[in-house]
Amino acid sequence: MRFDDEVFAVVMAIIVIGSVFGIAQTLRPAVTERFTALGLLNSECLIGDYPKTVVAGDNVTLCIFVFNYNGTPIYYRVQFKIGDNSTLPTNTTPSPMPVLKYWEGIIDHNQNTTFKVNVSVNEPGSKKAIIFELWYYIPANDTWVYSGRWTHLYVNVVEAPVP
Amino acid sequence: MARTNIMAIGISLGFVFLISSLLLLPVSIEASEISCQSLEEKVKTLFNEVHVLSERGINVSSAVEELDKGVKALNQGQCDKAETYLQSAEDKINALRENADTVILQRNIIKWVTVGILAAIPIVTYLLLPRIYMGLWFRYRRKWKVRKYEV
Repeated sequence: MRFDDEVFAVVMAIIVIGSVFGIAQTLRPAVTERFTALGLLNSECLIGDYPKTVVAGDNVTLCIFVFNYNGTPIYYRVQFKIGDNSTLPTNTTPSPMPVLKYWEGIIDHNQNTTFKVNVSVNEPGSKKAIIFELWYYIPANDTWVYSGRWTHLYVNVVEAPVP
Repeated sequence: MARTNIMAIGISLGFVFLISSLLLLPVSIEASEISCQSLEEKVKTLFNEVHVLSERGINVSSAVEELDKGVKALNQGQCDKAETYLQSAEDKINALRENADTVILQRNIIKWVTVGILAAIPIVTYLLLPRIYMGLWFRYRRKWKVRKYEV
């Protein structure tokens, strides 16, 4: 069998497509969609079994998960606030409530970190929101910027029993 | 008599030491606070450098790890520990910065050589594939005998 021109054309087409795809993969930027993520886990750093009722003033242990896919390392700050359903953050604005505690760290691109936090709610009430917001530091402006990521947990806060 | 004098001198020296220590205590506490504040600034400066290196495509994971430990120690008020980690991070950043140009050049060479090879594959295939195929075709049939086919 001699070398068929049509077979040769098909082979060449496959090779050209493969070559263009390979060049595109080599030249494309390493990160195309940049994002960060914030997650809330229970005291054993697992999803689910979150506390529903807490005693006012008592420590509640929770776990925070932070993921960075920004292409560069981030200097993050997780801020803790207490609010209700009218003072929750949005994707663009943080909660207006005051910052009660914060935790900082630096994570590389495509890395995550999980750490336990102890928080307490001092005022009794129903459907109080334990709010965590993710902020990060912008070196060019020397400012902390709200990332638009937040997580919250509604709890009923009961008064401590009188001994 | 001499022993009594030595004791008196010893007691007075001890007293002077105690008083001076008490006087210097607030100064040392203040110095520690200042040191902690300066470390916070140092974290920002080092992070900025790490950020710049990372944007240039340098792998900064080792420096980031040390910086993270430094930040966490600083948040816990452990200034001495934080300073150690930050110093380690600074050393790593300096080493990365020194090698940055070489690393970037090597990576660019590898990238463009790869692109060149990938771009050359279709041309080389177009020129050589028919010849190679024919060469193999004839090699496989080299012991064949040819005779005239009569219809």
